[in-house]
Amino acid sequence: MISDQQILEGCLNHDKHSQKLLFERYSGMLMGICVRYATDIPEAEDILQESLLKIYINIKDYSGEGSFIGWMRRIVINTAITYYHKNLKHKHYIEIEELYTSEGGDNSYIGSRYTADELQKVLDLLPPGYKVVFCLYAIEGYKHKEIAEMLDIDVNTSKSQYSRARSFLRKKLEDYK
Amino acid sequence: MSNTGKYKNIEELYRAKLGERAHPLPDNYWPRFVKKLRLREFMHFRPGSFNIYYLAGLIAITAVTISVLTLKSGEPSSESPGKIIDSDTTSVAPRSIAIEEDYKLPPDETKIKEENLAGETMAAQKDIHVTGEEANQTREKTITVTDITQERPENNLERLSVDKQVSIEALAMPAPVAKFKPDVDIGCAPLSISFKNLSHNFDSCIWVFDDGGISTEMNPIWVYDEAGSYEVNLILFGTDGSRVTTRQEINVYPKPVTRFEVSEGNPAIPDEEIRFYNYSENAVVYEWNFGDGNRSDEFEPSHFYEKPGSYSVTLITISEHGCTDSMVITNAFGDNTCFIKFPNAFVPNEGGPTGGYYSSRSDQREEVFHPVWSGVTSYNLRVYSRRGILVFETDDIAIGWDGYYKGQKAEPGVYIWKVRGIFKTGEPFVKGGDVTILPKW
Repeated sequence: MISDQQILEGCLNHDKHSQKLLFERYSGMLMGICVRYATDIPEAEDILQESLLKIYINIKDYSGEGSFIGWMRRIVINTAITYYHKNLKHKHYIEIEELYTSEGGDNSYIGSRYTADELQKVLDLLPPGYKVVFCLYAIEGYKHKEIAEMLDIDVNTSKSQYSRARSFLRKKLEDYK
Repeated sequence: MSNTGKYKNIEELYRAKLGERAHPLPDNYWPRFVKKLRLREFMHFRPGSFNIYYLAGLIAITAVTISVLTLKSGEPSSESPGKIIDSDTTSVAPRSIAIEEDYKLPPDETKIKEENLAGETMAAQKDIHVTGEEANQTREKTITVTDITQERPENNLERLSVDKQVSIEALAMPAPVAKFKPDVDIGCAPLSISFKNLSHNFDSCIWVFDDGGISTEMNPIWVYDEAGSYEVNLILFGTDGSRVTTRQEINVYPKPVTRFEVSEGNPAIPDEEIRFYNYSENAVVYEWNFGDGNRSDEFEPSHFYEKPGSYSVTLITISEHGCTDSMVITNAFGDNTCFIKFPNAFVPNEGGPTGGYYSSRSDQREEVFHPVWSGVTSYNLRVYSRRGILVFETDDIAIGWDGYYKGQKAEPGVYIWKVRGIFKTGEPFVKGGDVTILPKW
């Protein structure tokens, strides 16, 4: 098993074999991120391609600090956000209905069986803006302040969109079972 | 990863299930990607990665550059950029060639019409002497072509009937390439667009904006103030005299129109439902801000305010294309600061009773005893003399005391007043005090 470090060094020298190994090892995981942010699979593939090009070309800029996977994830997420911005003006706003569902109380859904597909499907029901905020905060673990900077929105917008997205997801997940 | 695991909250659920989730890629993704990567790596030149490909590219570029330069500066000799199409290698001397030279055209676009005065010659080697004044820009030049070998064919039956054209096809000046890029091509009215002209090989350009406007600037900025679909045309006049047009569509979406009204409710009354009437047009999303920290995205929401106050209600509308508009009603429920105040002295009009009508403009001299007030719905004012005689009473807040009692001017001195009433918040008030009638000085 070739270590990440070896692959990294190979990629630094534009070694074709190492580049392919890197692709085989991480492209699926990175594509998983793309799918979360893209509106459809072709767009996700485009985002991945753009991200991989950045990764391979700029691999010398990876400082070695922090995890290499984290560095790649960050590139993919940034690329996805660029796409999101690009698409934003062409996409229609869809507002969530029934946002103000009551929080708390029935937590039974949390333990029930949801497959990743089901969770993704419910996530895809969210309007793009809400979805991006939710993914960045809940899954990627960014702070609202960081999200606000990344998406060029107000911190409060990030917070309110997040809480709306969250209550929407809760309700949809409950409906799902 | 267990599907039945307990997750503390929705974030944990999603992070666990989707955070590391991979997604399969199509089989041919890598081969397709590698091609792009190689190209990008090639474009991304670094001194350390100089290799045979860069060398080949460098040589190719150099070769092209040299050949272009040579052709451009070449003399009209054997190195002439023109080639003479003269299929049957004939010429006869002397013959005259009339050059019709378009005044605007650069010299190497010259078309030469040759009038062949003679017949055919075998194995002609031509020596062309060009006589003509380059300096005076006459439209016609005469070129005499003399053949060194003037071998005439024995049979030149057709010699008078042959009328030939020799055309010199010049290597043209590079044709103009029209290209431009607006910084935005889609947006909400009024849409200001900065156009960047990316064309080359041109002398001048005209922009036709399709809304009646044109510009001859290189990089104009244009504002579309009305919604619509516009086809922007960029017309180039090339250095070679040709004209090229390119076009691009601009979509300007209408802004929504935000209009709303607030019902006559009073937020000061507990549990009073305030309704908002929405007359907005062309919008699909509505964002209400009631000014007390609460929001709604209903079309026509109603709201309960918890306490009285001066609230500014905002409605932001968003059209289906994402265009926004907004409207604010500042202090939507009127001035809810209710108060009533009285002065403590006044000087009645010397000329007789005025009836007590006042307004801030008519009573600048303070000749009427009246309150300044806000938010008063019912009102009763009584003024007593010090001996307890009721000298003035009114239920009309618009009328004050003019300082007269039964047609007589009241004595200067101190008078007592008492006022009762109800503010529009429903709050009753009772106030009293004294007021001094000052003598005229």
